[in-house]
Amino acid sequence: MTDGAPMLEVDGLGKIYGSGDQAVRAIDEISFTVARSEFLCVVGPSGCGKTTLLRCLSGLMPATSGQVRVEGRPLDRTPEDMAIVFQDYSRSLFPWMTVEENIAFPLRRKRLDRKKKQSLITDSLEAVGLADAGKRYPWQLSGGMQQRVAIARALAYEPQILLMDEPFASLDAQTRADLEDLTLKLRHDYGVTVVFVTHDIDEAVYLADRIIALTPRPTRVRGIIEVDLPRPRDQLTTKELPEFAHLRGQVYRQVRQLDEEGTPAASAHGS
Amino acid sequence: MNRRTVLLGIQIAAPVLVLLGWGLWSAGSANIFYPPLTKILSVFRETWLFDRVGSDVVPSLVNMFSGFALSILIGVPLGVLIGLVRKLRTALAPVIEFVRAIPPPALIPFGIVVLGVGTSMKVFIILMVALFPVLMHTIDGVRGVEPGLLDSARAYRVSRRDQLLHVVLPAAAPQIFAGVRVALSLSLILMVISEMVASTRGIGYFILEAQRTFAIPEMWSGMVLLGILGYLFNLAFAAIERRALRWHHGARKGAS
Amino acid sequence: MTRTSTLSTSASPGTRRRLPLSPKFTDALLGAAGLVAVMAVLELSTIAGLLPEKTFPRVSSDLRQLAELAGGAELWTSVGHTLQGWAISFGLAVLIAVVLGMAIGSSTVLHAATTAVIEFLRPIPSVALIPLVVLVLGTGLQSKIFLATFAAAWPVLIATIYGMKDVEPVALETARSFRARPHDRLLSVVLPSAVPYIATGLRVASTTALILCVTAELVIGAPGLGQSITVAQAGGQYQLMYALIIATGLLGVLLNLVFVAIEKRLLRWHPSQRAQEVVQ
Repeated sequence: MTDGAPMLEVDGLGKIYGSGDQAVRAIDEISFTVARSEFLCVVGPSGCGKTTLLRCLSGLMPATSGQVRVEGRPLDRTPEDMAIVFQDYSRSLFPWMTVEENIAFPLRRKRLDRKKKQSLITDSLEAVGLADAGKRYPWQLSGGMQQRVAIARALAYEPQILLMDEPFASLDAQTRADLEDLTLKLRHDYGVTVVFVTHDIDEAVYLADRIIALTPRPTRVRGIIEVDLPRPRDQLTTKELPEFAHLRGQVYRQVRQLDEEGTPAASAHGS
Repeated sequence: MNRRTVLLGIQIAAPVLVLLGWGLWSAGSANIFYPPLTKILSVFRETWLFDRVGSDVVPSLVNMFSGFALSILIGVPLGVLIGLVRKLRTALAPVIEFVRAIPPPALIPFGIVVLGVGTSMKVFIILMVALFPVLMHTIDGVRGVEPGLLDSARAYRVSRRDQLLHVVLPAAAPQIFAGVRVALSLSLILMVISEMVASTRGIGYFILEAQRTFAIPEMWSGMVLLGILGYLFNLAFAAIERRALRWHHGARKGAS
Repeated sequence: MTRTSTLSTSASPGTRRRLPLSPKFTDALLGAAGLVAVMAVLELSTIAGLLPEKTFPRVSSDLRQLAELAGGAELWTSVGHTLQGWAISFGLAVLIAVVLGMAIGSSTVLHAATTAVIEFLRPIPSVALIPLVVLVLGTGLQSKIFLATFAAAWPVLIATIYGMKDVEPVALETARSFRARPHDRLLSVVLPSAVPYIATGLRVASTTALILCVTAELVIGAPGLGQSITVAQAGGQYQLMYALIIATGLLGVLLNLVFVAIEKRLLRWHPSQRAQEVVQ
């Protein structure tokens, strides 16, 4: 699967907020690697520091200990080939820019010529099914369409690795299913590595090649589950597979810290 | 007629009725303090259209807009700086709280002592007073920038300059505009007061002088002029704001 | 804005910094340092001759003068005059504006009839009335109160109308579905939701009333701090003038603090309401 260094390596990452008496240990110690073109989902109980982890992975927030490496290089700020889709589209798209301007804004630094820039914008909008929305403002679009714009912005940035922080958590079920399929399709078309944080176990099993389950705070890796469901996946047939139900139960037990019989496991952390 | 048309009719008719009422009530007025409206209007035409425009109105407005413009030019960058640097904000908070709590006219004697009674004093006073609403609102606006927007910009490696110009400033713009609006009305007020206290020309001086010489219709005409100016500035500002913050009003409407 | 992160293992928290400084305390310290720094710069500028000593006395001597004033009766008489004007006009303004605002806010017809008139009257600078007020009411307390009341009533009026109009429709529907009588609806649904707006209006009105009182004292010579300042300036007693300006500023700070505290109390039970943008 790998050629050379893995796409993303997380090595003993820890995060403590505050200091002294008020210090809160958000992440105890997390290590994992993500292979090139892999689709990795991170699930965990609510409040388990998933967002903290993602912020550390992206370089938006310094970790307290440990190291993150992208293609073997230690990370100090968000690397050039990483794009992020945030949960709250209304707070990550700039309301004073049109959809096109929103997509073009991160490209300013890349110093592309106008034709190339325009084709990136048009292609990415087309890829998310919003070819006609370029001249509109984000607030003129529905929530699902706004999140499509955020995805288009990430695509136009031409990343090697895409971080998604519970991107569909605030959308209705139908829109959510559509966007899950869109994400799978884009991953397939663009061959991009995806790290997808979610609290929804069904979503994780449906999307992932591999799932990392986290413990409650202070967060550690609870378990890693390989998802060997066939691709391409489909909202109906994939979810009807017995393996799907099995994996779903497996992840659920990990997240809820239940043993095979469904009773709470003896020791939660400190192992 | 439906209810909305009736309400709209009332809305238009009310000010007209008020004016008519004033006209009728004052028509035969023998009270020297309240001359007939018609008299005020004819004096208004004689005085302000356009006899005293060059000698009083223009100099007054030049002072006002100089102070007002300077307050924006200084207040916005300073506010952005203070808003972004927490240490600076904490250190300057008591100083700012104190200076802005001084009732503005109390600074006029200070201005006279330091700068004399000329134009520079008036511009200085208008600047001093208009600066604070701009400064305070800019600081608030910059502090209130949605962290998610800054995260977005940082995640996509947007340069610091672009973050400032294309994220922080637009995000703070609604607040900045609110401050500028307060600054505008304060500028007009301080223009008048500064001319009343120390001047030999200007609209404020004219009104006070008219009162002292019992030229009552002239005094009234000056008051009407100030009313019209205040109203027009407000109108113009609202129009500019609507254009500049179209996205803001749209986004707010969309959210509700 | 861009922070470079240090991902290497740093000292665990609690081992390095031993000083038990609460953030509140360090903030106060920083603020005091800022105040001292500004005063030191002014003081040194005067000493070094950057500012003319005659028109710009040392800050330290201004403060000494203020301390002296605080020991005598004269300052307190001026403060009393100003505060008296402030209190009466503030009370009047609030009374008039809240009653009017509630009437306008609860009647669609009245609202339609007054919108344009208010829109036209509000931007008129209140100081334009000074000459007329002097003619009709003279140069005493009455003029001061009239001007300050006129100016201070606007923010409260606008805030009250806005607050009444901004009542959560669902709350009103609920009240209606419980068959609450109109005046019950007004007292228990409409007024409480308008309170946060009115509270902000009060803060602005307090400042405005103080400004207009000082203006009246300054321009038409009604007794109070403003008049004392002009007298000191005209008499060339610049140190006294600065001391009085500082006193006026302190009075302003004091009133601000009182109203911020009141507003906090009033807003506490209604944390979702943010009335900041209403009155500007």
